[in-house]
Amino acid sequence: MSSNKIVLTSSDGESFEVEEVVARKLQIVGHMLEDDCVINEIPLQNVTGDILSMVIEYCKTHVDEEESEEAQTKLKTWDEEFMKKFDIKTLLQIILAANYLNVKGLLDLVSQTIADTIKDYTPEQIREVFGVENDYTEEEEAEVRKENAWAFDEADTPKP
Amino acid sequence: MTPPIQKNKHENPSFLSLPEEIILTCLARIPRSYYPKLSLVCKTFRSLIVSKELNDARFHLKTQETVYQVCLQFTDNPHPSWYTLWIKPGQILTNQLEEKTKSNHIIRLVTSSCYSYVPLRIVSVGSEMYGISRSSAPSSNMWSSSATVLNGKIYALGGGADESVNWGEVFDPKTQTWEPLRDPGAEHCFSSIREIQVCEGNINVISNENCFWYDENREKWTVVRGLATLNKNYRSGMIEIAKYKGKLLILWDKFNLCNLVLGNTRIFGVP
Repeated sequence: MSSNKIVLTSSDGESFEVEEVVARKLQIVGHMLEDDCVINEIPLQNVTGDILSMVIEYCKTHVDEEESEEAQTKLKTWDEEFMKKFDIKTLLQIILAANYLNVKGLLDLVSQTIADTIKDYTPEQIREVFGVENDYTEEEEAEVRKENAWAFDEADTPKP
Repeated sequence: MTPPIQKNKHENPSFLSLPEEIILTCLARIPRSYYPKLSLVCKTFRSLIVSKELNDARFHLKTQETVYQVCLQFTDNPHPSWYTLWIKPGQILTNQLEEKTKSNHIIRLVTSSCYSYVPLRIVSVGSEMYGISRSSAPSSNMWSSSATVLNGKIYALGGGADESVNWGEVFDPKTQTWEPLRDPGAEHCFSSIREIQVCEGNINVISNENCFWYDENREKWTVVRGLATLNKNYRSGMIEIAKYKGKLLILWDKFNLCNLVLGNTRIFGVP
């Protein structure tokens, strides 16, 4: 295995020295390495240092994806714990970074985490936590609520 | 490449400021039964939930769900509607359903869309479902009795006995156009189609008179010869066709007055 080191630099000038195999988990880097044979330092314009460090942590953990069931279970547990560390705002930044850096596994993981959160929240909680503005007028909202009235009961009414 | 992220780390990104592709990826991972709730969040959520793009995202992520849909037409409305079975999230259906006080809140049929006509045939291509009805028939030039999908295209066959109409037409969902399809020969176009199936890249058709199959690459129909026994005696029985080791296998019931004999087969060479 190549022990070649690559330096990844974030938009705010933070540098991370990682092994080439780890850097290649970022497909954007993988493509750059294929296009040019010798690169030692790669500037990543669209991601800040704090977010990049988390992406690298994910890639380091997922660098050898073993097939065995035990290894898969271990990785899954690690993924769950890893996701618990972040609030929604950080998760939104990580998903943007995973999309830009093209780390498919991380993109899947964060989008599933966001999906699970949205699923369990009330509409009011979704607006608040995900920074979504309610652009319905009172009448429009009542109309939509009426249209979907069959789907709601007490459990869906906002909690204080 | 993704456009540069405008926000700096001190700003709080909102979910809706993410590229639409990512928003769809998240929404497509949520079970559909939660969608009525999500439609209340804001107008964008509401329009994304019913979008074709979300359907496509579900298709690519393999998060499509089996939905039970029925098309019903009531006497007080000239147009039929599609209804989708909705089950309240987290509910496990049991046969004690009727004992629950709120059973009408757990499961119900929800109008999903209105159609002008009741479709005769329903086929699905990728993430989309197409209903072919008598009046929205392929082109104005045919009325189809059967339809199937081969390599992402819809084949509507059995266009009737009149020479002025097409016997078959092919619909390409990419271009949204119907093209006439070569017929298997005038003498085979008159009998009605009993069974149609796609098998190893060919379309096999059994009509009341004959059996023929279509090779898409060569755009050619081949009529199976030697089915005289089948034609004479067993027209009303069940028929199954399959490909087996490069041969076309035809099985049918032999109906005698007092007993039913299964398992008659003929194997025909397929070049």
